[in-house]
Formats: sequence, C-alpha cells, structure tokens
Amino acid sequence: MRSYGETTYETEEGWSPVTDAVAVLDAAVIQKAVVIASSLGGRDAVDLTLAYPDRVAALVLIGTAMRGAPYPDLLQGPTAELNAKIEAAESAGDLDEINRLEAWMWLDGPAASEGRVTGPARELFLEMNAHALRAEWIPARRPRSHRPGHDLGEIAVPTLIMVGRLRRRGHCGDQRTRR
Amino acid sequence: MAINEPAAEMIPNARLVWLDGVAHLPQLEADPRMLDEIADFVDALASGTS
Repeated sequence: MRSYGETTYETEEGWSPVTDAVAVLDAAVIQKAVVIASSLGGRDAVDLTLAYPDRVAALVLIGTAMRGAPYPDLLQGPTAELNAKIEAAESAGDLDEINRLEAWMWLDGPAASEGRVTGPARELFLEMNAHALRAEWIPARRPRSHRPGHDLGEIAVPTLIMVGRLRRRGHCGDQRTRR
Repeated sequence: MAINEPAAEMIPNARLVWLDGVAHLPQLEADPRMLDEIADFVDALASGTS
C-alpha cells in the first residue's frame, strides 16, 4: 500500500488500494491469487475480493480491519488507555513517542507489557512505523471502498481469519489508525 | 466482542483461528502456528479439499 514499506503516498485522481492491487496482479500477469493480508491491508483485500471476485482465489486475513462487521466499544480497558496516550502524543506532535506507544499497541499488545517483543522484530516495526508516521498520509483522504457498507456474506472464496489473542481489541479501519 | 468473530460468521466459507502469545502482527514475530495454518490452508486449496 502506498506510504508503507519504502513506497510513497501520492494523491492521484481515481486512485484506490483496490485498483493498485489489480495493477500489481496485471503487471505480474496473475489472473487469480491467494491474497494474504494483515491489518488495514485486510480491509483492502476484502474490498478487492468483492470488487473483483474473479481475481481472488482465497483470502487469508491476519488481524484484519473489516468494513461491514459490527464495531465493538473501546471506551475502557488497556486499549482505550493506550489510545489516549497515543492521542496525547499526536497532539504534541511527538512522532518518536507515537512510534514507541504504537509498538506497544500493535506489536506487544495493549494488555501485554511494553517490550514483550524484542530483537529484530521490534527494530523492524519501529523502522517501518517511523516511515509511515513521517509519510504525508492523511487518513481522511484515503479512498473509500469501492462498495462502502458491503455485505461480508457476499464473499464466496475460502477465507482463513487469524487473530492474535494479545491484539488490540476491536481493530477497524474506519477508526483512526495507521495500521 | 472482537470484530473478527462476527466477520467469520458473516463470511460463508470462513474459518477463524486464534493465535496464542501474539498480538496484532504475528507475521513480524514469525509465529509458527500462523505459518502452519497458512501452509495447511493453501495445501487444502491445491488439493481441492478446502
């Protein structure tokens, strides 16, 4: 996705993560793929499947965001507490602090101790997340689904959904998040 | 209630797997259970048993 990894985010008329995914498949001359996606990418994978069902053989969704599923309340508990700290860091414009807290939220898990995950995995997260945080990525301008409010029941392909038990509860791409 | 549980019920041919000891990014932790599940899932697709 644009602004993730080593890519840049550039606004472009008619752009969407789904059209980008189709362009990648076309460029690789792949008619149909097993799509494996994580987090916010899972939402885009679902959108791709619904918009282009002939291009997706199956779905693997890992800790995914999901439009069309009910969204739980997050007003209390460790997720809400950590969210409040992240929002305070955002208000202060402290990207290093946001990065530290988001590593706790997304990598360690909000109910786990900060630093649960160490070594190369943490270093990689902090490096990738710092890149995403510094990208000029404006969530409100991110293209919406091709079919907002879609029915997940329309997904016909075999689908494997995996969720870490230490995850942030209620992850959803419609909430403020960069993952 | 987590968002993935109702989603797994809404998608007709979906299976939900909980991964112990990892959070939101099991792929960064190279979680062996996650890798095994993906391998089994793809094998089942290839053999037509999914």
